Amino acid sequence: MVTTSCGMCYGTCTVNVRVEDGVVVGIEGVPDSPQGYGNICAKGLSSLMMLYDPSRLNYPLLRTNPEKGIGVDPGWKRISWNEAMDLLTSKLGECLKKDPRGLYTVGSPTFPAERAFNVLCFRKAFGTPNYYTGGGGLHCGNGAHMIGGIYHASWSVIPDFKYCNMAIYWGCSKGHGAGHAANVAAKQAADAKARGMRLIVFDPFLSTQASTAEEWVPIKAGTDAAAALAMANLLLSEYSAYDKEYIKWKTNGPYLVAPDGLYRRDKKSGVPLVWNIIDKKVEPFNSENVKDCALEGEFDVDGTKCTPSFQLLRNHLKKYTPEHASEICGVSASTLRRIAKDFGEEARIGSTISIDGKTLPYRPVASIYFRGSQGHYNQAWDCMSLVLLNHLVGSADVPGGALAFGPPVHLGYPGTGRLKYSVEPDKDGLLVAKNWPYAHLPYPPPEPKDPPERLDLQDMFYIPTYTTIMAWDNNEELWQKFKIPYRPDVMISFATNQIMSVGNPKTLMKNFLQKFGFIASFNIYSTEFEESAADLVLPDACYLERYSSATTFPTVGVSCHGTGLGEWIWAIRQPVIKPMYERRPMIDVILELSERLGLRDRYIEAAREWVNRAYGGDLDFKKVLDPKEKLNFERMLDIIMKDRFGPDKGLDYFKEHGYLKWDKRVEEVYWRAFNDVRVPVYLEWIIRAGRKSRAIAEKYGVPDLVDWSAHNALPEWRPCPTHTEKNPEYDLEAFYWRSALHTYSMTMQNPWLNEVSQNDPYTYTIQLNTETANRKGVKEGDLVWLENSKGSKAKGRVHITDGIRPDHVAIAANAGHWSKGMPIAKDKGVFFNELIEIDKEHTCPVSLGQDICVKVKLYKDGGDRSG
Amino acid sequence: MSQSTSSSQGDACVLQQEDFKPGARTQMEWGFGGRRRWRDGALLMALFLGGVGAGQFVVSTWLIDSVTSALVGLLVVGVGKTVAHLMYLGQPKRFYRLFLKPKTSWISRGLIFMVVFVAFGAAYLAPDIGFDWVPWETGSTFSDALLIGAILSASLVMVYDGFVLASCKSITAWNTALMPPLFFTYAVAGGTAMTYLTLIAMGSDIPNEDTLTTIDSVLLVSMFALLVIYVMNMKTSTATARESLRKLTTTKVAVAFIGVAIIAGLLVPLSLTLYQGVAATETVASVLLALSSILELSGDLSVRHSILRAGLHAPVFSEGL
Amino acid sequence: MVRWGMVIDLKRCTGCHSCSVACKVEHHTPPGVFWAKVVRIESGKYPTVIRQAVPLLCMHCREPECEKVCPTGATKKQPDGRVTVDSDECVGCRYCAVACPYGARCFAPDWKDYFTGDKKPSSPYAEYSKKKWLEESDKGVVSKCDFCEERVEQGKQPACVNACPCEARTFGDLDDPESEVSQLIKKRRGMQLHPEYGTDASVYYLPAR
Ligand SMILES: Nc1nc2c(c(=O)[nH]1)N[C@H]1C(S)=C(S)[C@@H](COP(=O)(O)OP(=O)(O)OC[C@H]3O[C@@H](n4cnc5c(=O)[nH]c(N)nc54)[C@H](O)[C@@H]3O)O[C@H]1N2
Ligand SMILES: Nc1nc2c(c(=O)[nH]1)N[C@H]1C(S)=C(S)[C@@H](COP(=O)(O)OP(=O)(O)OC[C@H]3O[C@@H](n4cnc5c(=O)[nH]c(N)nc54)[C@H](O)[C@@H]3O)O[C@H]1N2
Ligand code: SF4
Ligand code: SF4
Ligand code: SF4
Ligand code: SF4
Ligand code: SF4
Ligand SMILES: [Mo]
Repeated sequence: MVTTSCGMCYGTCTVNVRVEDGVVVGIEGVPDSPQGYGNICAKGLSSLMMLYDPSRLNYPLLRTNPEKGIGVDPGWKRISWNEAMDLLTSKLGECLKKDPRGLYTVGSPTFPAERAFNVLCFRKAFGTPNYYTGGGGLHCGNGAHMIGGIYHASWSVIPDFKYCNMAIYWGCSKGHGAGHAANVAAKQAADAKARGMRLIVFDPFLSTQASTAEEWVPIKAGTDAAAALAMANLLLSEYSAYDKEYIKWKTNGPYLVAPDGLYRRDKKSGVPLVWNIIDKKVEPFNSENVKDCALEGEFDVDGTKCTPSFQLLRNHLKKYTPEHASEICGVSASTLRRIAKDFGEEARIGSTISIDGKTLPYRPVASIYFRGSQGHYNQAWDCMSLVLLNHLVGSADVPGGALAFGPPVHLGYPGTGRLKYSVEPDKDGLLVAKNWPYAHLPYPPPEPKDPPERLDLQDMFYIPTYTTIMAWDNNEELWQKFKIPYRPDVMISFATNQIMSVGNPKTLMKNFLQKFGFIASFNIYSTEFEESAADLVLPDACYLERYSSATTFPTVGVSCHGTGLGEWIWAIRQPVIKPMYERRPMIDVILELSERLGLRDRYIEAAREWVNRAYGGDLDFKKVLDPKEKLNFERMLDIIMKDRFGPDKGLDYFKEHGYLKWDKRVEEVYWRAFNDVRVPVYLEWIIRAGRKSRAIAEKYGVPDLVDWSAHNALPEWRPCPTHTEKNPEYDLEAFYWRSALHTYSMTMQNPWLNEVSQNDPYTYTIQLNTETANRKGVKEGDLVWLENSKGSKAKGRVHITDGIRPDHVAIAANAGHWSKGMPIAKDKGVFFNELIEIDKEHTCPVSLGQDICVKVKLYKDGGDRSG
Repeated sequence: MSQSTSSSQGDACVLQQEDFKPGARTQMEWGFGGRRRWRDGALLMALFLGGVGAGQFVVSTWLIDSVTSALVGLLVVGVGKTVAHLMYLGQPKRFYRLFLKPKTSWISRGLIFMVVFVAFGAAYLAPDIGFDWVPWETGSTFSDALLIGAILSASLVMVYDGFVLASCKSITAWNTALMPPLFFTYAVAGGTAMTYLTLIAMGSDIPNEDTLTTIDSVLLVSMFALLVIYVMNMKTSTATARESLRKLTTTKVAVAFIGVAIIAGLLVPLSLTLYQGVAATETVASVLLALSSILELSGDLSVRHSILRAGLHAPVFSEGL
Repeated sequence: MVRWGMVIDLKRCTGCHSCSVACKVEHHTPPGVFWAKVVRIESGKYPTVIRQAVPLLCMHCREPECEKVCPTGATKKQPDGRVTVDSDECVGCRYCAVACPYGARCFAPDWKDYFTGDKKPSSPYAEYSKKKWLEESDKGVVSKCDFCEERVEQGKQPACVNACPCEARTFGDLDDPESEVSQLIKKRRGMQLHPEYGTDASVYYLPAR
């Protein structure tokens, strides 16, 4: 029996794996672990079938067919690891000499811990700023994570299941199979439901969460902001249900804003001013004198009329009447009113609760969003509008409210006091996350690079983590204009299937992947990405065959702890059996490669930086490692563990126990009340940051790079291309949702999951409303095409249901594989992403995340148009 | 309400192929394991051969007194049905276990009936088919007793299939008191047809032809009536029954049920029987008779096939939950 | 005497199929054989639609239809309430499978490999599961949920109960009025599926709404 962390999704549940005579024969949850409470999902259980899949890659493969492209046979030739390493070393060595920035590293969000040491540290050591995560982030993170970071110092929010009485979900499944910490949340959500928490789900599709909710509100895709802003308006103007104290002291609501849209600042200290109601004068927001401040009105500051930002928000929201919103989002005004009213009432503004002897605000309501509501043109503002509801009623990170998902505050592992970090205010008093996994903090905005250095121009912006600009049609022109001196050269992909996960694979191939001289990919299968684009394929050990560091703590990218009080856990992933055949863990290859390229010291420096980053630690590998010692991952892990948990808790301890856990504290879970930090109800800094980025774009002659008018301080609803599609032939809005049975595209090859998917009417089908099906003469099981206005198509079988809006079609997961290397996945389900265009029109102008809904026409296979 | 799981593609090697159509789940266990291997048809053949074989024996002994035809009937049951059953079993080597639970299981009962029938039938026929060393003679009281035993047990063989199906509570299309009479009637009619065919093949005259024709017409009419009642019943019954009916009348099964069983198997033979009475020549009459017998038999097979196919389980989950 | 039973809380269940797969891992069932499974039910018209996942397994009926019809006596009622199939006695006639109102029974004519569909195992694990399957059940016979006899004997929870991420399943002694299952049934109005068949199932469902 070996205790490790499941790696079938990033939930990282602690599991016991049973090995008999060297054969893995069973897998179960570990009841004592807060990471899963002993429960395990279908995917985790199916790990065995991934480990022993005869289609797994077992040897390095080299492309013999020089041609690349979708559907081209790569002509794989088996080579030795020696040959593979020589080739990789020489390609990377050349790149290093020419311009290291020509290297692109790509890593999947599924293995955040692995990604840290492979993608991020290696990239740093190599000296390239270029990396992305395939569809990860582009589909789920740019808007959602950054807004989560700005408002909760966390990459997402989740209801405080223990105390919440009313949760509104906007396109997210938290606790219903997908989403984050899937198993932990599943139990917590079930407990909450049993306790009586009301769940209201806004979703165009009767998703799992919607079907188990108290109320399903079938909203049109991409219109969440309109509905939420109308609800915010109602809370402020009709129901007067907002937490004035919270807005005064925990937001920038009282900050005075001048007509130019920017804060009025104190001349001396440079901090924003507020109107002190008692002394009737302007004062710095952080002055001791300010015992009460104005949220409304107009105040004269040295001759200019200034307005508290809350007043600006209020005025701005006036135009979002429920009636107006109703026309946009397809939800009746009375429903919006009713839900807003309930939300305001249930928030019990002013009430408190005592937990562990600490009196805290009690706001048992939560507005929760994620991938569904973020997957749109307006994603930054969509997410902001949704999170705003919590901040109007003061339900952020207090008992019963919307809690930060990754722990923004951790007061240290009790045994050593290490792993200590917290949030802090910046000079403007706004929340700064200290523990943040991405390239730059969500706030304060990074200085934009002039000119940008990255091929996706991400570094001249302030919100985006990733962009698709490097794959736009005009990328070459942009690179030239921005004077980017190098071009795509070598790519290393760590466990992604970009061909399937990003968008239209033809576009990605033509505009981006084809431009690389050499692509190496670590995978466990030969997927569409390997077959279309890779020159060298490296057979990785799967999660049951390798080590990785922390799988639960957020520095590594994703936090997977449950919400509310309970326990923290630090768990590792460790090999249950030795890698079979010639499979080799990616990290071992990367460490060897670093040595071969002479990057050893740079690698451990990057690792040092990474490991200490959030926790303010001072671990230095150089001090511990003998300079002649060959890099070895187990050794590094041992050093990290001992540094954090004490000399008796090195790798050996973790190998034996699998994990270490300790109690959470009230100050960590409900951290907001204990930290003097504010969040913006008015994103003043976006105006400033947007101007800077715009100036750069103009300087290099690309004034229209994005629509700069969206870089504003107040949340808006802006239509997606789907909403402005004029041609009535394209009458259905298509989008995808996550099945609890699959993790993106990677689990489709699993025969057990395939079998249960086949026995489920949704996983492999296109869901179409009964009435629409009747109107179009489509019957259950019919083979149909979905086609967008650019002629891109997806094919699949119809499942007719009443659980979807009549003007929408839904597709589950990321299916429809075609590679030869995944015979079970092949031709199962629907490949949706071909319908997603990769271009400016489908890119959020603020977050640069992808718009992933699309207007389509639906017709039967062999019907009026043939495939 | 609808219950659904999309019907499985791919390797379907087992029985529990969930095929949740609105309102019901198709029974896949008997005959249609999803594999559609020829072996799966064995159960249908067992039902069919048991019915018509026993029917033939009864008709041949009781009404016609044709030893050969009775023997054919006996063999159809004793060999045909037995082989079909063995072919169908997952573990044929343990077939003897099938007899162990007559107290509760209709299969045990049916197979015991079958053994008894084969034993009585064989004993009864023995003196006529060369086993003249047996200590009884045809026509003796003992022999008559054997015949009565054989006819009684044959009748039970003809009817028990109906009880087997009717005992399945969740399959509304089967769980009806009509099943035993329907199977019985079909067995008699099938038996009659088999008898005709046997006699025609032997080139023998058909004794009691008028009586037989009358019986046949009566049978055809009552079968038709039973089917009509059966269908009407389903129409007014549960959603599952209606779904079964839909399957019987509008899907591929309708070809077997309406096309073969009702039109070819009932209506055509009925008109042929009437026409045959006035047929100009003997040859024409016997050709017509053979034709109508074959049609009747295919109707018999199709009815059993259709009923198996229409076997839908009521949804496991009833409305209102 | 104990009478084992299970309670499934439809309010907690999300239809995630973990139970289906957990049972597979535990009992090494070959392709197509699911002792535990999940069906989905949809009712109503847009936008007032109800969709409910219903996990299924053998109901371990107190009056089992399967046992009644079984001609061989392979299907047995155990004193602890479980209904079992003795794979050495079963002939694979499938009468039980037809008669069971809950679709609980599966028939596998032969073991097959999940990847290749062959009778030859494609990996050491497949070899192991083939061996286990043929030992515990067999080819050519009918099999079904046995309430995880071996686990329960060791004082463990059945595999599906253990795995369920939503903790929707509870296993215990129906004869003990104080047991969690008995209490849940009492307090939450636990119901059996198709009580009208008189099967008197030992698996109870707690209403979702
Ligand atoms: N249609 C559709 N598109 C989507 C999504 C969707 O749900 N539907 N989701 C979007 C989102 S939010 C995200 S985050 C992205 C995710 O997109 P990706 O991160 O690209 O995810 P996958 O497509 O599953 O590709 C992961 C790859 O990792 C491989 N793999 C699995 N285990 C291992 C391992 O141990 N080692 C190595 N080296 N490789 C391994 C798998 O074979 C697979 O090819 O997709 C986005 N695109
Ligand atoms: N089982 C499983 N778990 C996973 C993953 C996985 O692939 N499988 N992936 C992981 C990753 S990387 C991510 S990003 C998360 C994502 O987790 P979620 O945020 O839960 O992602 P989805 O299920 O894609 O989308 C949620 C819902 O949004 C709905 N939706 C689509 N468009 C809209 C819209 O415009 N408005 C509203 N209101 N709803 C909309 C969809 O119908 C769907 O029900 O899950 C993580 N967890
Ligand atoms: S939720 Fe994710 S980590 Fe947990 S068992 Fe399932 S696949 Fe594994
Ligand atoms: S594992 Fe639990 S939640 Fe999932 S389908 Fe089964 S009973 Fe329902
Ligand atoms: S559910 Fe079916 S198989 Fe299980 S005991 Fe009841 S009748 Fe028998
Ligand atoms: S298949 Fe086996 S268990 Fe089922 S009725 Fe026949 S002999 Fe009994
Ligand atoms: S109790 Fe055991 S055998 Fe029965 S369904 Fe659950 S896991 Fe399978
Ligand atoms: Mo994601």
